[in-house]
Amino acid sequence: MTDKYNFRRKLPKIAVRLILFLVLFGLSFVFVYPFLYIFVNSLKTGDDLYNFTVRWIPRSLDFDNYRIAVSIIDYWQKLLNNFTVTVIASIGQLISCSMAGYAFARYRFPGKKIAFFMMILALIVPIPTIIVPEYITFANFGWLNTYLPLIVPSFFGYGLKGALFIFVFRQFYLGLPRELEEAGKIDGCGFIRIFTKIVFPVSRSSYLVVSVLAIVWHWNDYFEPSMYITEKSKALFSSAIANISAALSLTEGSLETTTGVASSGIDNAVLFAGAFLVVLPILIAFCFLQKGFIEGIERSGLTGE
Amino acid sequence: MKIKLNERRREALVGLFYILPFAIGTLAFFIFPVISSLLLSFGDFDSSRPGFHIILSGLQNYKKAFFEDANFIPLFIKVVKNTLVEIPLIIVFSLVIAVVLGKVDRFKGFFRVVAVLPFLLGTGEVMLQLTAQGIDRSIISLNDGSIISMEFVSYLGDDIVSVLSTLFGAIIKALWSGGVQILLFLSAVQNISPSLYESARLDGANEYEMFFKITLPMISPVLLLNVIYTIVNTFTSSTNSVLSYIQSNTLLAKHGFAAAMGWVYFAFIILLVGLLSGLIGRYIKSNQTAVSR
Repeated sequence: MTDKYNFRRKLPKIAVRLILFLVLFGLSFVFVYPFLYIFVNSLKTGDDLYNFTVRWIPRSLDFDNYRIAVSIIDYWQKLLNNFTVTVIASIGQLISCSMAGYAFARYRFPGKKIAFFMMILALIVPIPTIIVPEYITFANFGWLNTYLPLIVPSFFGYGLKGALFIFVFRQFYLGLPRELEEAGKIDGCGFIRIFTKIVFPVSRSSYLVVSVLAIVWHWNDYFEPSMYITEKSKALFSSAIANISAALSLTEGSLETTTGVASSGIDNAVLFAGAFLVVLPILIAFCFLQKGFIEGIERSGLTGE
Repeated sequence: MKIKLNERRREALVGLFYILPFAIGTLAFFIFPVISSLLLSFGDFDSSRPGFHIILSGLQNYKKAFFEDANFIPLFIKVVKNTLVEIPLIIVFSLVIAVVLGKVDRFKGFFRVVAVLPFLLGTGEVMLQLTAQGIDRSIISLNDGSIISMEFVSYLGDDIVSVLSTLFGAIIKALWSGGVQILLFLSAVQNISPSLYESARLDGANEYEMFFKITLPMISPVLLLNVIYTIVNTFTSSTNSVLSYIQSNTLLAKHGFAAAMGWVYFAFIILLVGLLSGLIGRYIKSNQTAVSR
């Protein structure tokens, strides 16, 4: 009797749960979809790609797309370029932004209010608004077609979304208790040793959050690299991908006029193969960093405790 | 007294040491470009002299942007429209997903990782290419009869179908660009003490009331953070057509005109950020006074 009664009472709860999980798995599909879509389409032959009855399982696998994509975007060279810029710029931002964030959270110094106002302003001024003078400055320095315009500002708290990272660090340090640093001070640590030996080890989570954000954004950035780097051999992935589609749009016009079936070797499948190759390194890096990243966002104090 | 003064001076010096890189960067990579681009928007470069000389010409560039140029205003209105749809969609959907995830105890880690995945493509060129291929519409495609039968689709007519698929596309895109927001909301939701909900339940509150009376006020600071983050993110993403128009004008050496468009664009962003942070800030404050009473 009581069992039946309990079951009846529990039934709506179980049903709600079931629906909840169905909805969540549906959503997960939406989130994974771009990756599946890129991967599946990158393996399709031209015939399969334009045949809409073939949606998920290609009739035959075409690894040629990858071979063509690698040669069109000059993959290994671009990989090295992207890697260099991403790693150096991210390291620069980690150093300079954490220093600035620490200063904002812990110290009183002349001009603090102005500096803070500048940071907020830098957060919302879009790059295109100030790109012209920056471009001309860098041109005067002779920095065009080098990676310096992307790398040097990142060591000074700027670069891609540097102000946001300063803000993240500030929020984290505001939430960090001062006792540890005071203990270090009493023991006679200098301020640099307090930062490197005491503060840094306990703030790994915020460094991890910022490095994931910085790596992903630098890896994908298109606007600034496309302005400063026009030489093809020095270009980054983002402009290489844009160039694939330019090459494709030329061929696509001729395809539609004939049969609607790709006959030439270059088709959209190559674009997907290229896209997959570009995303792959960042996907691998994220696999290693995801646990710390997600826990870090919760611990970084951004959400207020 | 003397020691205290020294201590304070020492603190100021150390603070200046930490802020130094940012201060240099602000002068070199921010204040200088901001001021010269502002000047530039009221004139153009002196083409007869090499180097950085600006000839002022008043409001001509702005006049050109608003009245003469055929592309800027339509592009601008399109971007404004898109963003005003996109931002609420992103915020609402990521909030709802975070609240739902907060109630789930199994697979939570899995869902969190999955929700962040699109961020890896996020604002990049790859995503731009994919949306150009119509990937956001293809996931829920109405035209192949897999979700709604073809008879019903033809009954609805082309206009409604296209509106519906645009709407679905916008929602899907909002979901894809909300990964970081979901994580921020989720951690805020999890920080709310369960005893608040328990006491509300004892007083007979339903889920709906608890969301608006407890959850939303408690996470309002994160709401502000997310709104600003979303605005900045959407306005600087490479899918933005105003940005590419400004860029193409820069490459054509119409520097003054490009700068003027950049400032019009910035004026809109700062207006939006100011308005929303004012509104949400007032909401946060009213919650705080309600709690302290």
